[in-house]
Amino acid sequence: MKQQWIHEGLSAPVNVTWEVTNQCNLSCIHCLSGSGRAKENELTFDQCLGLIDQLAEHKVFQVNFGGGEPFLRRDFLSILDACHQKGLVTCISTNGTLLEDDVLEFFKGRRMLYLQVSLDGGTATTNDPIRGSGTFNRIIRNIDRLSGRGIPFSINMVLTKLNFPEISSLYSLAKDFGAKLRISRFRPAGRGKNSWGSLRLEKQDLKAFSQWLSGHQDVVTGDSFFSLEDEERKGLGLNLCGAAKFTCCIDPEGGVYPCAFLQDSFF
Amino acid sequence: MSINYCSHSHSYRLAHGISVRTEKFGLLFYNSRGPKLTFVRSGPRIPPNFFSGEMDLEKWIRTQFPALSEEERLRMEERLLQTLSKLVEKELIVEAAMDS
Repeated sequence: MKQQWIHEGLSAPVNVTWEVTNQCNLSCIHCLSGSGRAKENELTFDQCLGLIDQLAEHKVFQVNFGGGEPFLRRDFLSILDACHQKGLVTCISTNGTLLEDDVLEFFKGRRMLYLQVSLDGGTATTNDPIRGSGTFNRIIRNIDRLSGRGIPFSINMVLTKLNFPEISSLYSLAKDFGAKLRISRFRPAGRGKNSWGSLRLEKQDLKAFSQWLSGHQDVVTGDSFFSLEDEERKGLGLNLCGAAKFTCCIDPEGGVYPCAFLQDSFF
Repeated sequence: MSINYCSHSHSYRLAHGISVRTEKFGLLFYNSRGPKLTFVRSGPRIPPNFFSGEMDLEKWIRTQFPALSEEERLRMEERLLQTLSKLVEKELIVEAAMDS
């Protein structure tokens, strides 16, 4: 019955991914949006407020902010605040390098805010070739500050051939900071198209990962591709693609797509 | 599983982290802590603003459906109480008195 209701169409997306800027201070080799410089016609603050009004009017439950690096927008805290005032739950995906004191102060006590900090290895040796030189230490310093102030967050890792051997150490590292580990699939989009051949996991690695995941039920993954069996996907509630059913994606210029991974001109 | 019906006098509000909206089939609950969706086939009877905790069920039915006979009203109340009790069990809503 639930499936039938979904196929008949909901009145609005459950959550919306909003790539609020294309600017990024890092240049990760697997970046699915190929972020770097701001796009020419990124939404102004007033346009962002108008969009938030529309999302709230349609009773969207949650906005997942990504980019680019959202905190490169000087008005990002005001955008978050406007969402909270309209009753929209927010989740921010950040590279974790720009979490200044004013940002941490803003986070404190916000019950409608979830934070995901990206980290791609349990050591600098593994993380830095993916995310950039010196990033491991900067990110660790900032998640230590988050943890010290009691601000909840999760650590988000994109699974690649480079960091696959370190999933257990990253899992332990997350636990040490009181955070959950979230693992996402590497996709051949953005700069990921160029590194696809060298970073994608082999079949046997995916099998081994699937087994590891079964033994670590507290690891978060919204990715159905990690479950090799249909029944396992059903058990996790991942047997349905949410694109244009539960979710959609808004790009920095206000364009709307079925999901973040379908922005490529190929689609 | 046995269901303990809630007292008529209770009003209800959403639990922490829960949002709700109307869909064609009834109500769609969203738990941001999951995140997780719960689909409830309640028809048009319970609107999201019922979960503001401001009006108890009996009073709400009398206000919304003034033409119902006493027997019809009691039947409706019993049916809605079953649904509400399940929602309480799932920790999507709380009895307003308990939430204070």
